[in-house]
Amino acid sequence: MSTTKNGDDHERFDGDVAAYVLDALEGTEVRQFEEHLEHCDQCQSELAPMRAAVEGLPAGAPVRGAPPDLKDRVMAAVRAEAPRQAPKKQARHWPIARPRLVASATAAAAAVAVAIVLVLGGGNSTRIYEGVVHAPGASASLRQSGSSAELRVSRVPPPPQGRIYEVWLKRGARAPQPAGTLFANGTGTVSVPGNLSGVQAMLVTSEPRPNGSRTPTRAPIIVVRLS
Amino acid sequence: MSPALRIRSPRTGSGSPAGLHRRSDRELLALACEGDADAFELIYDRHSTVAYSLAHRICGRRGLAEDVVQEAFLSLWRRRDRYDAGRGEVRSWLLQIVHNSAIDKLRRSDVHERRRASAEGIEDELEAPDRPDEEVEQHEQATVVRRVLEALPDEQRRVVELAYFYGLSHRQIAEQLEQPVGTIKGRMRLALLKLHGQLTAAQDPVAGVKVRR
Repeated sequence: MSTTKNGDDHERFDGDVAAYVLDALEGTEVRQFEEHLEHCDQCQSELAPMRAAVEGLPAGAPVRGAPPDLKDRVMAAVRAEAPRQAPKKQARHWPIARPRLVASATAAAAAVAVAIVLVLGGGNSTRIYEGVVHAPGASASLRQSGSSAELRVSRVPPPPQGRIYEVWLKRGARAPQPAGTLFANGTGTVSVPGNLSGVQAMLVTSEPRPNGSRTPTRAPIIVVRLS
Repeated sequence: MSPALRIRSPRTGSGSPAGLHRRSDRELLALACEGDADAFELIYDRHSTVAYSLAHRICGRRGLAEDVVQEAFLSLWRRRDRYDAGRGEVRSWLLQIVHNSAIDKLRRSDVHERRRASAEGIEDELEAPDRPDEEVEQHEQATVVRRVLEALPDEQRRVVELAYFYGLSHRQIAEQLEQPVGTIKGRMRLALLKLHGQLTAAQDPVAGVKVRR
């Protein structure tokens, strides 16, 4: 019987390295094996080659190209969350004085969310931020007046079955925080509670009914930049 | 000189789109940590095909596979500052996220869903979709890995597939195959050691299997 540095018998865990790297151990077996692994030279020596073998398995799956719109959705979310100080393609290639353009719902425009800010007259300054909606013919805008804000949506398709739209507020490098607003109608106005101070962007994603999620699980269908 | 030409990126040279392509995954992720979405987009371009292929192989359905891949890349983006190069390649980390998420979705689906997913997967196989150029490399890697897998004795290949692609534990596999648990573990061990040996031997054509970018 082979023994390990701490006296554990290796034979008790013989064969467990493979099951471990294949994630085929159950419940407490994982922790027990990891404790054994820490002191077992023999298991440690098998760990690297077996892990390398498992890392090769994904390449054995039948090849399927990811749908192009999947990339659009992923990168729209990434760019919406990217810190503002990050270098952007347009900033490197367009003249500084070039006016910012209103984004359409095309895939190319969807990659970079652009907002138009209108400052209306009157005692209470009102700002309207035009958002980008990743749906043909749809539009969305955020109207901020004092401490209140409303999201106006038009012709946004209904959320997928079993899901509801949830509003998120993005500040700096932090993960988007739920704004507590849920809606299912693709046309109408919903209030966005909370202080918008420091909010970099407002996002809308479809989340499971009835209460939404704690963190976004889908790429946003609406992105409104506030800064 | 136009204003555009006076603008200099902090990534001048290697930071240009062409320069980014020469960067390793680790370097791209480091740039992504600084907020560079372009660098992250290149990571997506490099690994989305294998990620989607793996998700589809496990879930068997397009919709679920899309959800898995989307969640995995966003998870990679949101946790990019936690990457530990000492624990493996960026690609391995990403595919681990994809695998865990896909298996989790598979385990949560009921038997009926699994069967339906399997049927849809077969239909997809029959569709024989066109493969654009960027998938050719991945296709070549898949061919090599499948050849190595098929060279394994059936009983060894089966336990690896049931564990990795179906998310079954060693006990579940033992029950399904009506074999002792010790036998199943032994087959797993032999299979993985052979896989490692043969993949290493085929290192050149399978360079992409490890993709040490």
